Amino acid sequence: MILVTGASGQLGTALLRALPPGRVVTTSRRPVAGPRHVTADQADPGWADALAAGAADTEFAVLLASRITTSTSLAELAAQAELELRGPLDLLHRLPRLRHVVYASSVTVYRAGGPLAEDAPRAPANVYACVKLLAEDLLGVLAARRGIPLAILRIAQVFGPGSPPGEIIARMCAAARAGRRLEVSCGPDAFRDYVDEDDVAAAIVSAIERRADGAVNVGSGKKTTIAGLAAEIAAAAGAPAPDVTDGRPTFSMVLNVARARSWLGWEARRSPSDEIRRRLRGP
Amino acid sequence: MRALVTGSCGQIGSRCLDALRGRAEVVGLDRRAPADVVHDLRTPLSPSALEGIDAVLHLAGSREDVAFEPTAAWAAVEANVVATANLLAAVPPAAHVVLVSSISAGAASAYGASKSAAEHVARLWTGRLTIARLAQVYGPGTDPRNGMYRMIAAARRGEAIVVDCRPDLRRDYIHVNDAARLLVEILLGPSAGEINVGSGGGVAIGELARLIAGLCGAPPPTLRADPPAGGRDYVLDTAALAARGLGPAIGLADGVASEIARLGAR
Repeated sequence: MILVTGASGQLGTALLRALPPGRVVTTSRRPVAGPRHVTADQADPGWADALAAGAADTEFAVLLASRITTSTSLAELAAQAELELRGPLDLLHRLPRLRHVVYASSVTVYRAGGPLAEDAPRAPANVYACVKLLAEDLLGVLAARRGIPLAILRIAQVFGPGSPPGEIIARMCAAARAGRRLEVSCGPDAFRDYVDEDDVAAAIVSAIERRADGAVNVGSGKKTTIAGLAAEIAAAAGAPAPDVTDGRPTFSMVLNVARARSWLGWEARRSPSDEIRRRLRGP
Repeated sequence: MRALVTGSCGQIGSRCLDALRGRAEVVGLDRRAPADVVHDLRTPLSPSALEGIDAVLHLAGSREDVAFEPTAAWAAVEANVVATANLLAAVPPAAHVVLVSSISAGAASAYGASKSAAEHVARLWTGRLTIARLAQVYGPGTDPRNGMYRMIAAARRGEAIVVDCRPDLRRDYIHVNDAARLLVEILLGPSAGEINVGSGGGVAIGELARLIAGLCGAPPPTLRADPPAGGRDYVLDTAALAARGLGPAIGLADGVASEIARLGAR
């Protein structure tokens, strides 16, 4: 069986569309319709116990559960580490048939810039990214100790139908459809690497099938400027041209995705433009 | 100047307190008594506890390196990462913080991962920060499971020390008195980004074994004819320390001889 944690989230939902339901056991705080499900909160001390009991037949684990925060408050580190890490460290030893683990890490472990390959220096700039870095290393130590391959997927900025309303493409499309002028406060040059949720799900499936072992970037490998994204959305929606100002600096980065091609036989298919068209076409 | 030393009851911390006396008003923090502030940094610390502190030497943590089982891995996270975050969340913004890290930061162990993460966490702090990476500390108070002390124990029993690994692999040892003195100089100096505190060259494991055997009058070390390949040197680059005119005062031969003398004749 394939255990999926954080199954009710954006990536979890996308991954469940890509996996055969009969082979999946899910877990999340909220119930998930469809496959076998263990309702358990990763923040609770009994989380690994619940899964050791309810998902003992797990051979493949996909660790997606997380809580995204951009906080740099050191006072929040303890809770973030407890939530993201304590359960999975315990779980790794509680599933006797475990053969492979996928851990959903993040491009935020890197310093800005790019194209960034997997050996680029890591320099997490907030509490979330620090915990991701620690999880990469500690899960790596424990998995190596048990002889279990561990795929660490460093996932770029995700878009798609399952995005929360605050995700940048979702937010700008909604504003432009309402006729509002978009505001971009990070200057004309700030860029990101955007990747579609179903493309990420396909990368995860491939990582499982190929028993990928090590860090792999999962992104488009293409620079998309935030100002360009806003201009495209405004034009497509017939909204006024965006107001671009040089405000606060932002985290500009793009991935080198050569390893994903060779290790996973994978590349991103859907682009932000596809997502913009889908969102602006919708009701 | 008010200086806080965390882990003040520990092997290095207690010596740092002594080295600081007369040069600063010293506050010791430890989870055990006797400390001026008894607090377990795995739980949040109130900023009011650190009011008026100008300099912080953060030594508290776990040096257990056995941590391959999950509870031990989480223990390393709490002791080394969570504790660092909780401390820095309470430190006055103008203070100089010296995070004591390790030559093992980044090594493939739970300890190495936790020390590396502690460095990253400390860099989130916006004040003046120095990351001081310590070589392998020896001297009174060292865990007897340390490689040097296992060699000394064998030699004191009159046995030939068995060197299991490649004898040319280098290790970096610094006496605890040197470590404490140098950390205090770094604490009282300007913030330095990163600075390594080591011997400046290290010693080959085979050479250390011969030194110990000689000092104890034990037979020469037994080297494996076919040692396992791989392994790596662990030696710190101490150029930044030397550039400040700082370095260890206790040579390895003298330091090891004093430890053997302290432990007594066999």
